[in-house]
Amino acid sequence: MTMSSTRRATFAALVVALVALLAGAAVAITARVDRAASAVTASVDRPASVSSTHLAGTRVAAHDQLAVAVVAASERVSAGEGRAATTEAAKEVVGSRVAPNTAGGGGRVFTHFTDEAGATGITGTRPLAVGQSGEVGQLTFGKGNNPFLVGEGRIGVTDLGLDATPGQLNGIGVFGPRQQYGIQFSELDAWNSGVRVMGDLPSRNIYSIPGGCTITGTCTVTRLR
Amino acid sequence: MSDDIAKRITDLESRIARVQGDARACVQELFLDDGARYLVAQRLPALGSAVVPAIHDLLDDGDAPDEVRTLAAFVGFEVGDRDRSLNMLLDEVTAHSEFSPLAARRLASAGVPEAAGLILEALRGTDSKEVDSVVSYLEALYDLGVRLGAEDRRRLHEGGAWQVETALAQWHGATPGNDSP
Repeated sequence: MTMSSTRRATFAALVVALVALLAGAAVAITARVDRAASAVTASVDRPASVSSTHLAGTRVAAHDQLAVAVVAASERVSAGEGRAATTEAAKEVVGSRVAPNTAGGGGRVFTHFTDEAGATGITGTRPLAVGQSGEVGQLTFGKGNNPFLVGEGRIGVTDLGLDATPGQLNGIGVFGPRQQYGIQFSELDAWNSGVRVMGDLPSRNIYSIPGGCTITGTCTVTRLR
Repeated sequence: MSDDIAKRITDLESRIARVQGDARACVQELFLDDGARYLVAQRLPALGSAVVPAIHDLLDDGDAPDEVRTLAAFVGFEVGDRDRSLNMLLDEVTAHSEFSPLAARRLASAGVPEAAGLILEALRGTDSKEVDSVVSYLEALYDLGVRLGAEDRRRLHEGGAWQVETALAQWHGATPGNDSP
């Protein structure tokens, strides 16, 4: 009877110790995840121009770091421990599929489809991998080379989302390499930047903005193909 | 020497005829109903006035679809036809078609004053919630130096669209101008 009580007490102590060990490990893992997130947040909040490898105003590098940190941490954190939101964020950044519309702001979301040279020039980002997306605070457009119907020098944009099919993009005159990247901005950010999005043929998803304009706000760039 | 000139001119005429034939063939691409007519029309002005004879033939073709004739008029206007293409675009403004707002903007940006009354008529016939059309008409009127009168502004304000409100404030605010009647 006494022996049995002792064994039970020992067993209970072992269980308590094991639980404490597991809890400590969980706390440690959580702390590592939080440190990683804090480091990335600091990187995001710091002007990107601080780093010579990243162009000013972009958050793409920060997205990459967050993705790596969170994926690495999620491998050590079992499911159902309240970290689902963090790992979902990683999927958004590194996943092969992206949401149809990602720009913030208000009103409708418009997309300018372009090739790599256009995307890097307009957003100031470095080239992205397929499926990768980044947030930029400013879009700087050059002069368009579409001389007719949308007006001299204007830039073609569309209300089609990032999930537009190649056939749909062909239908609005976006061919081949220009289907690689989607640059998105909100209608409200455009208007607040003094840029009027004009519906050239809204029934066919064809809109335009003035060439040489700058849009400031919560804009995104995504490599689609 | 004169024989050389005659040969050069004859050769040149042959080449011009070939170019005109090519231009006509390019314009005929508008007839293909594969969803690419607008994209075809965008590219035809690069041919310059060489397309005008083919455009006029198309405008005269009563059997041609309305969309083809309208796009042909845009092309003709773009390459300098200020006669038949212009008249067709003026008609298009008040046709309440998908091309009406675009026709209004093109005529306004080209500074065609006789378009102003038609654009105002088109605006008054457009629901204030049709944001894209209304904003196009407001910009076109602004480009032509027309400022909306109080009654027109009131009607558009009632629609409540922020895009329209912004466009009204920017282009048709209290600045003295040539107010619409």
